[in-house]
Amino acid sequence: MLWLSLLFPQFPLEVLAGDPALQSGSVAVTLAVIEGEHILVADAAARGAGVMPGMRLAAAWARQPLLTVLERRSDLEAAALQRLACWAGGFTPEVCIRDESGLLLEIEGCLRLFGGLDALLKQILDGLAAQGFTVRHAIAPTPMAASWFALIAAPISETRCLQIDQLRPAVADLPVAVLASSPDVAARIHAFGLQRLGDLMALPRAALMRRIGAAPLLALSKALGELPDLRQRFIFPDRFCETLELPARIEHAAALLYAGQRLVAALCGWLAMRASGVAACLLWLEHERGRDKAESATCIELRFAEPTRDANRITRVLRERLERLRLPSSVLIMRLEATSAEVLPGHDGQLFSGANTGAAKSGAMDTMGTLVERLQARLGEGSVMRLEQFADHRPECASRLVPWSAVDGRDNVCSTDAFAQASGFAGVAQCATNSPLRPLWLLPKPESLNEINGRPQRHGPLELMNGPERIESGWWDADEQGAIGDVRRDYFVARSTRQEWLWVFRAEAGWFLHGVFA
Amino acid sequence: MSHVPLLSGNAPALPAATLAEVLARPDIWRGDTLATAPRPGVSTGFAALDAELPGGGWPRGTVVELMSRHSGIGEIALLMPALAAQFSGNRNEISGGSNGWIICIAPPLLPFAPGWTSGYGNGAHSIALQRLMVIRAHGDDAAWACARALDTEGVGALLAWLPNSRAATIRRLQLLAERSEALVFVFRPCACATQSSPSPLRLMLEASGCFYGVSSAPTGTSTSTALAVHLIKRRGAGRTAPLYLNLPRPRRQSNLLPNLLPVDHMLSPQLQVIPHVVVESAISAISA
Repeated sequence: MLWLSLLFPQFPLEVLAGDPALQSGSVAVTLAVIEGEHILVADAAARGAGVMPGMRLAAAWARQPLLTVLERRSDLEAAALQRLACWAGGFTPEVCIRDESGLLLEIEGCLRLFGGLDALLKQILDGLAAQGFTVRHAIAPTPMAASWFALIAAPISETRCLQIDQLRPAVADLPVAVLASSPDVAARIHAFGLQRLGDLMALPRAALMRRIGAAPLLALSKALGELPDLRQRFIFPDRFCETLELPARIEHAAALLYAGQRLVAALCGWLAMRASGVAACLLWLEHERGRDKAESATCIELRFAEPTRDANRITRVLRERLERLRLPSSVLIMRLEATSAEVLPGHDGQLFSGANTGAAKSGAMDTMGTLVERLQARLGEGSVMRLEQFADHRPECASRLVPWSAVDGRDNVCSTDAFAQASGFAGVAQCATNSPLRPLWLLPKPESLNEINGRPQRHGPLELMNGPERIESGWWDADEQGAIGDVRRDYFVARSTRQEWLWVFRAEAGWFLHGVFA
Repeated sequence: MSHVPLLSGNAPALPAATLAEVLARPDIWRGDTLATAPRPGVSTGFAALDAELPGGGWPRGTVVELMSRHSGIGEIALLMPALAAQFSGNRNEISGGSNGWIICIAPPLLPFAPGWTSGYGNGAHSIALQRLMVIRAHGDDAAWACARALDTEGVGALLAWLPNSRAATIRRLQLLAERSEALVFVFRPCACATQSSPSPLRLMLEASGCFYGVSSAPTGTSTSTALAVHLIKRRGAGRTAPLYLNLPRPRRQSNLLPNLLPVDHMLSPQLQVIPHVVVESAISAISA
C-alpha cells in the first residue's frame, strides 16, 4: 500500500477565487479569507504585505488597507472537495477525504498503468494546477504518516517514503507538534522536553500513556504501521450531478469556462472510475431571479459523436458553445449533469510502437467524430447533414437532408438499394437505358418561369433537350399539412442560352424550374 | 577582368546540387514544362485535362479554385469522374468504404440524392451517400468549417462554395491543405479570376456554345456542348488557349416503354422540334 496525501493549504481562498486570468488589472487585488474575526488564509500578495494567518482583522487592515476580505464558506469547500475526490477517481478508485482540506489516494495499484511514480505525480500535480489549487503532497506506506509528512513538508521539498522499513526513521524525524491533539497535551509534551517523535518513541509506552493519554500513542502506532488504520473510502455517486456555486456573478458566458473546467475535470474522473463515457451531458446555468422571473435556468446540451471521457474534447465543445451564448442575466450557479453514461472500455496498448499502424497520423489531427462535434457546437445543431434517399417518385420527397447522428456514421446498408428495388431498377451499374435522369441540385421550392410562345424562359428561351417524363403520384398525403400532395408534372431537361442545364417541369400552373444539373 | 574566387579557403565545401535534383523539386520548373508533383494526381477522367495538369490529375493536398460565371454549366460534372472513382457507390467495388468522406460546405442549392447516386442514368459516376456530408454555413463560418475539415483525418474530398472569400482565406486553407491528403475544390465567383490568389491551380470554366464533337451517329450530325477550361494558373508553363472538354450530359432517354426504339429525326438547324431532339453525348469516351 502506498498512500499519497494531498493537502491544500490555501483551499478556502482558492474555492472562492475566480479566474486568475480575469484578475490581472492595474490594481493588485489582495485577498484574504476570514473566520470569525481572524484571518484564516491570505494569498501571496497579502502575505507579502505582512498579513499573517491568525491575525485580527483590524491589524491586517492596518498593514494592508486595500485588503479584500471574504467570509469563509465551508459548504463551498465541502462541495469542492467532493469534486476533487471525483476528479481523483480518474487516477485510483481508492480515494479518502481527509478532514477539511486534504485527500488521500492509494496509488500502489495504479503505478504501473501511469508509467511510474514520477509520471503519475506529474499528472496529478498538473491537473491540480490547471484547476487552480496549490497543493502539498507526500507519499508514505501508511495514510497517517503520509498526512503528517504533507503537513510538515515545505512546498518545495517533498517527502517520499516508499518502503515500510524506511518509515520508522522518517517518522522519528517529525516534530512532536503533529501528534498533539489538544493544547494541554501539546504543552505537556513540550514540558517533557521532547522535540522529535523519535524521542517520544524511545520512552516506555505504558508510562507515557498514563501521562498524555492513549490517543496520541494510538496515532503513532497507526503511522508506524503497527496498528491497522481504516479510512472510509469516498463513495462515488451513482449519477453525476455536481453543482458549483460561483464566487461572483458572471455576466459573460465566456468567463464561465474557468468554472466549467472544474466541473468537467470532476466529470472525467468520475467517468474514468466507472470505465464509461458520456455521449451527452447537460450544463445548467441558473440565473438570479430578476424582475420577470421568467428565465431562471439556461440549459446547454453538449453532444458528442461517440461516448468520450476526454477532458480536452469536452472542454473544447463547451468553449465553442459558451462563446456563442448570450446570457439573459448573470449566472449564480452552474450544474453539470451526465444524462447517459455508457460503457467505454479503455484502449489496448500497442505491442509494437505505432510505426506500422498505417492509417492514422500521430494524433495531431482530429477524427471525423470530433469534427462533427465542433461544427455542431459552433454552427448549430442542424448544420451538419447527410443525404438520404427515399423511395418516392416526387423529387422533393425522394431526397432529404437529415441531421447527422452517430448511428449513420457507421457503414450500414444505405437506402439506395431499397430505392432501386422499389422502383424496379436492378443494379445501378447495369441498366443503361431505363434509369431516370436526375439533376445533382434541387431548388428548395420550384421557381416559376415565364412562358412565351409555349417556351419557358429563363434569361432567354430554354431549349428542351430531353423528352417529357411524367411524374404523377402522391395522393396518399394530399390532405396532410405541409405535404406535397398529389402532383402531376411533366419533367424536361432544358438548356438555357447561358449553357446551364436545368430540370424544368410543366404542371397545370405553368412552367417551373426545379433542379440544376452539375 | 581577373578571376575572383568566390569562396575563401576556410569555408566548408558545399555539396554541388545537380540541376536535375533542383528541377525535381515540386516548386521549381522550367519555363516550358510542367512542374513535377510531389504526389501523383488523381486522374480527372479527361485525358486532355490530365495532360495539362502537373502530376497528371487533380493534385492532392492543394486548393484547386474553380471559377465560373454561371452555375450548372458542368462544374461538378468535371469533378465527377475523379470523385466517383474514389467514392464509388457501386456495390461491386469494395474500395468504396475506406477512402474517406466527401464534405460539401455551403452549397448554394440542396443536393439531390438520386442525382448523386445515379450518375446520369448509367451508374458510371455514382457517389455513395454514406460518404457524403453536407455542411450549411454562411460567410466566415463556411471558411472556418473548411479549415476544421482540413484539419481532420479521414477527409477524402472537400467541395466548398466560398463566394465572399478573400485571398487571405485561401492562403490559410492552402497551408492547412498541404498537411492533408484530401482533394480540395473551392468554387469562387469569376470576378476573382483577375485577382491574385495563393492557390496553385486555378481554373476558369465557361460553357462554350460551339459544337465540338465526333460525329459517330449514322443519322445526322451529333451535337454536344463543351466546357471551356481556362487554366489561369498552374505550376508550370502558362497556357492561354482554353481546353475544350466534352462532359457527360443527359443521354437520350426512351421515356416510352423500354423496348420501344426512339424515333430519330433528321436534325436541321432551322427546325427545332422540341421534344424529339436527338442528343448524342460523348459519354462513351468516359465510360469506356
